[in-house]
Amino acid sequence: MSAPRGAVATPATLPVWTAAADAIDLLKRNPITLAGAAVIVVIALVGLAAPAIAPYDPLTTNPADALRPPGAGHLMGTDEFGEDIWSRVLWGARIDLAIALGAVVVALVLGCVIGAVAGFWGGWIDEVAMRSMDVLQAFPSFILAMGIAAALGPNLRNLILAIALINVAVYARLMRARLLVVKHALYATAARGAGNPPWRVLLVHLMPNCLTPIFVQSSLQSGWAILTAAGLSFIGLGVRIPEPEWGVMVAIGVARITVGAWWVSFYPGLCIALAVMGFNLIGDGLQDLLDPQRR
Amino acid sequence: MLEVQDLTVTFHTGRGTVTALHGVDLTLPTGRVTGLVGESGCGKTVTALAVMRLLRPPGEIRGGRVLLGGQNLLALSEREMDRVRGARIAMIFQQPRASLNPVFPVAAQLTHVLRLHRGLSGRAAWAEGEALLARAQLPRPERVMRAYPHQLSGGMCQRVMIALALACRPSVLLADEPTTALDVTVQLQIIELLKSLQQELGLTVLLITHDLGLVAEMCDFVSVMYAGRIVEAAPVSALFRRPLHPYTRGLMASRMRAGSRALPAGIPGRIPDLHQMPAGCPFHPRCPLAQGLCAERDASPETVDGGDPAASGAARMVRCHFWGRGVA
Ligand SMILES: Nc1ncnc2c1ncn2[C@@H]1O[C@H](COP(=O)(O)OP(=O)(O)OP(=O)(O)O)[C@@H](O)[C@H]1O
Ligand SMILES: [Mg+2]
Repeated sequence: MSAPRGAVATPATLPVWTAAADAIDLLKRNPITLAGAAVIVVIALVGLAAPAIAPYDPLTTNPADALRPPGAGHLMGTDEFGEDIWSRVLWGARIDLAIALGAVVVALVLGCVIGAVAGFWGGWIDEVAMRSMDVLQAFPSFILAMGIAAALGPNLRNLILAIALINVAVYARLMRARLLVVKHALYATAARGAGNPPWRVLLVHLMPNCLTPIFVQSSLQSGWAILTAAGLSFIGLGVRIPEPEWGVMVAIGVARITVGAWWVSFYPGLCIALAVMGFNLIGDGLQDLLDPQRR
Repeated sequence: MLEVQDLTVTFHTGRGTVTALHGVDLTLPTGRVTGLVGESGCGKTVTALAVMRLLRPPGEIRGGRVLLGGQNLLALSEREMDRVRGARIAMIFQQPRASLNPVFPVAAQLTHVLRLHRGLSGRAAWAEGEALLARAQLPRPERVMRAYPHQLSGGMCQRVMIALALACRPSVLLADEPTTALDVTVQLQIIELLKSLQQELGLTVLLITHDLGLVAEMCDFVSVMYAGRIVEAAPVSALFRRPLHPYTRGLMASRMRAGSRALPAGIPGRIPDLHQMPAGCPFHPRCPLAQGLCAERDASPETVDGGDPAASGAARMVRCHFWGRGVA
């Protein structure tokens, strides 16, 4: 036997702590994942601290200070309304991460439930669920998101819902595919034989065995959600001007790039790129992190 | 006592419906070990799964009764059955590692069943889990608790499975070839463990195996299965002294004997495909005693006297038209 890793712990030690220690250990051996995680953690911290660290109110206009280049008073310059870009970028971290998190959580929960139920019970339930997913996926996703956002009305909540809905099918398919494999595993029969009712076999014994590809996907999708949110906001179907959302900020600045005011769009654009990259890097490393065999 | 009466199981396959169990009768006397032997594919696992009602489509129980303490398990609702599984009857499987959940450490799996049937949680469940592992003679139970299945050897996994199976103090244990996947030395240890636990807890055990040596070692009674039928049932001593069914005799002859250089005699031919069951007695194409009658109709079970004063009262059953011929 290869002895279980980690110090011999007393029964009082919670499994949660050993799991956390494992995760930190693994991050240390994966510098790329660590870099991705660091980027996202920094963005999250900045977003949380925005009210405290932003030098200006993100929505206070000051026509006298319009379109200042990056410099002493305004680290990243100002936009055409004289709003401080640095302050708005900080507040944007908060909004964009909330969109990513919200959209992914909603899509993941909905998709996992649909996929799990479809895969586990099969038959007509499976047919109905998966044909609905086919319908969702029959549209180009950005167009569908545009449609949903336009129908629901442009605001933050509806933006999150629209992005979530177009992704439900992705999670549902991943979950169903994995479940079709694991439901025939001997440990599922063993769990049933230990007296677990079917729903508990599904929830407690099978679904945790399906989550690795789902989590990997959700990390990649978080980056993608930010891109979509920015895209929708850019065309006016998401968060509206003058909210400090990165996509909106890029939209405000595009008209001014030709007159040389590159900074208005550049900094929020850079943030979008950084966040998307961060999530993608995490996604790659998550595969290793979540697989107990590779620990 | 667990009694299986006339259990019939079918599988619906692409090539039609096949009958995997043909009216199987089995009696597991309380506190005793009953062996179920037969070649691969004869229906041993299906029998155990059907008793637990764990068969999944395309498998279907078409008839019969499974009586546990006078209660017919096949008549219970699924919810009632959930309180029987694990708590009154437990099962361990041929592939110990595959029957443990790969994403959870042993502790999670043990505490989960302890909460399910015995309402234990937190420290109490943890302590009981360790005690169960210790009882399954796992060294360093506190470490094993934290291990994932892939960090344990096959033998250790089977010990963990035994601990899990016994966690909720079932009275009946169905052991489906518990040692087949293990090294010979480990097999012996697991058998010793099962034996001592069985005696200590007074368990009623069904030991599925194709190893007659193991039957001789562990069992009190034995049923021999061929193509989904019980062809002979007897107390172990009587069966070994005087096997009645030609199939049982073939099995005995195909055992490797220590010290003998001759290849075992074996049984000619193979177990029939369920889709192409021969008419009459399913064993007749391979049987040295077969006659015209055997191809026409199957024999019915016949109760015979053991012919052995020591085992008087212990009736035995044989299912063969011509069992009397060729018996020494
Ligand atoms: N899901 C299934 N679909 C169709 N037939 C099945 C299925 N499961 C089992 N069978 C059939 O039932 C018969 C009995 O199988 P079973 O697994 O009980 O054999 P066994 O005696 O346990 O053999 P082994 O010693 O190899 O474990 C086999 O002939 C097999 O073909
Ligand atoms: Mg088997």
